Amino acid sequence: MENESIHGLRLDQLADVFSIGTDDPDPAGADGHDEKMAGPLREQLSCVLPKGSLLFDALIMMMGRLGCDVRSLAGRSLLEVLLSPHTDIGLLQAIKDCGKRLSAGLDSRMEAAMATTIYYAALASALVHHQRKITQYSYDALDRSFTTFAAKKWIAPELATLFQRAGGICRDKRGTDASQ
Amino acid sequence: MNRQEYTSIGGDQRDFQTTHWTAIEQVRAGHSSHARILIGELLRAYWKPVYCYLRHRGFGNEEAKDLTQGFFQEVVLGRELVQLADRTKGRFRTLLLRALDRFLISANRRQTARKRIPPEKLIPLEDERIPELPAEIGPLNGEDAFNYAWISELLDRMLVEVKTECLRDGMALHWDLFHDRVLRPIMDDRAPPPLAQLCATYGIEEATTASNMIFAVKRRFQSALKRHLRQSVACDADVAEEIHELSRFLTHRRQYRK
Repeated sequence: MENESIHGLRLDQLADVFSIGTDDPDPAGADGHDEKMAGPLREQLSCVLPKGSLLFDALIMMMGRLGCDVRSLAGRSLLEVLLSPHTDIGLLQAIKDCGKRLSAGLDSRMEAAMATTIYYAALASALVHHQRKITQYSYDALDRSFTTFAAKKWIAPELATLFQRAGGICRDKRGTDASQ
Repeated sequence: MNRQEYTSIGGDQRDFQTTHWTAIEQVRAGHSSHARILIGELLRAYWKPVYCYLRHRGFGNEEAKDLTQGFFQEVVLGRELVQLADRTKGRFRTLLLRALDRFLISANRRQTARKRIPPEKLIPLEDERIPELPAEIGPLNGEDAFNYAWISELLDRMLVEVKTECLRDGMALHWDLFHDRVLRPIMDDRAPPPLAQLCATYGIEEATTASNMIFAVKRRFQSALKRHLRQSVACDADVAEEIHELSRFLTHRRQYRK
């Protein structure tokens, strides 16, 4: 990298560069949107799939890559998919991957924050409904993130409950990461 | 150091296949060839954080350079660090920082650091550009200043490495897109240019294509981050935790932004 250096950047700039390298979205990326987030998040989560938005288009594409049956989304909202104990683990993996990719690629910080929330909701759903950890994050780290999301003012009550249940599972499994 | 300037201190940017911990264990076991590699790697990765820590502690430029030299000469080259190292007791940079603190409180270090070191063994810091801490991190403590410089150095080396890989693998356009769309806007503190504009500039038909090319570089960056962090933690499982901790460090210190 000729004539460029990271040294001397402000801390927030350094955080932005560092976040490029984190394949798991930073839950703190969903901070600072308390007044604006509740409505759009509820709207996104309540949409019947597929919906033609960037989020849903990406989800459909991701599912196709993973070999998931797109028809399983028909007539269902994302919230319904995330909360259902019958949702296939492969679909949750697709939602997670989709949320990860979108959280890093969307221009709007609020949309990216919503994608991050969806990413963590997929992780929580996999833990709660399938007893599966579909991320490399440790249970300690996940517990902290779930607790953060559960306490957000804008989070939908059903999702807050999901995050709380997932956090409880993480606390029970604390220290067992090496055996996963 | 001006952030537009590039430093090449510590030799080339090739990755080091062994972790710091395993190298230390090899050195302790008497493998001298590992000692040379370890010292080179530690010098590359940590001299700037050590220097910044010392500046933040109030030492002047020359004094901080002398102490940095003294620390690496006496503690790292002198193998005191190797004897103290215990991978079960935390992160490598924490070990290094504690060793630095012990070095500083030793009697008369400030006055005698340089003259104890034979001139031929001095680390040539004068030939390199010395980093400057941005004014905004003044409110941080010394350990935070060390971490700031360490992360900066880590990212600096990673970006050079990822760019080199991209050019080697015929992905120069991928790199240019990533640079223009992601990296440069962060460094210049401006909004990223629209994908359509970049597509027009680089003759790419579809925005989706450009987006995927940028994502491919991001994936390389992510792999590089994990690879580099793995060198300083005890086991694979600690990498994700380290990423999380560094993210928290950076995020929580954002309050000091200008």
